[in-house]
Amino acid sequence: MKKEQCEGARFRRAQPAAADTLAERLTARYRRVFSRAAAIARSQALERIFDELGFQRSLGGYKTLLYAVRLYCSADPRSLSDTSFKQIIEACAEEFDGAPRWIEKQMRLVILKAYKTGSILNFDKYAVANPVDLRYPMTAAEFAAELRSRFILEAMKEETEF
Amino acid sequence: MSADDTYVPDDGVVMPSIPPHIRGTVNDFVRRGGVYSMLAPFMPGKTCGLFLYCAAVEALLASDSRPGIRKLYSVVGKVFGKTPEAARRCMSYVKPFIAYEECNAALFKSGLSRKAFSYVTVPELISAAAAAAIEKICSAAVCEQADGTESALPCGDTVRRGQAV
Repeated sequence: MKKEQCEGARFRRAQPAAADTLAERLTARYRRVFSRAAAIARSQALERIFDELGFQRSLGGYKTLLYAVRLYCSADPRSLSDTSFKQIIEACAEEFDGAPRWIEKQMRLVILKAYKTGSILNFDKYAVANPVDLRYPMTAAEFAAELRSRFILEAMKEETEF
Repeated sequence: MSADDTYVPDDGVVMPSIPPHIRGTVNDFVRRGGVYSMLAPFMPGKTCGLFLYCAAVEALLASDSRPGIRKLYSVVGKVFGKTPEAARRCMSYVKPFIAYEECNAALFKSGLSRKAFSYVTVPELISAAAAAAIEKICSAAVCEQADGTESALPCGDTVRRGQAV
């Protein structure tokens, strides 16, 4: 009886340890993935994607959209909420010295222009969740979220250990 | 009766058994983001909820034991710096915003009505996702055997809205 109790106690102790190990493995994995995704966003790859999508560098919103996507991809996923992009637009407004509404409109204009020319259809191979629908132009927040998903997926594919 | 002896029911997440010969493939699938690419098309990605679900399914697939839902919440909470209760709340908040048609097709083989889908709980959703992942891997393995050729892992295949699954 005593032996059984001892083994039971050992089993009860062993379970949280296993959970902790799993949590540690997952924490390390997600930390690697998020930092890699942020690194991809900071690299030239993002500008190449923008060029491929036909975003015009001459438009004022190009730089702000680039900056906003980079900020969004580097944001801590723990603190992500539906209002995260609003905060990012406010940060962009401070950086580029403009009103948040104007900054948002500038970004939207860049995306709309790509919709008008049809070059946005190239985004289909990057979109993880929503394919491009020419009837409903996506907002800057949706665009940033899609790109973040793509970068996270790319980072996960590069993972060598789990 | 001490506190340790008190039986606290931990609702088990119904987990389909993983055939031992595909254990390595399951680990590869998890490592290369197969779970994320499976969940991302129908789950709102602007919040932490998608990652919580993703981590929960990955934990379920990667663990050798079958963790209960409380343990999953605590594991996932630790990963994202939340308490188990906060993780549960966050996952529950996200659930109503999951796209019904895509999720129903991907995880439940279009077998649930809209009303029945609204009653699906978070643990059921996690176990359905794990089951769908295992089925996907098994079907890929069957294809591989039938062809006699080595097929690529079913990772990175994204199910698009309006696309037949």
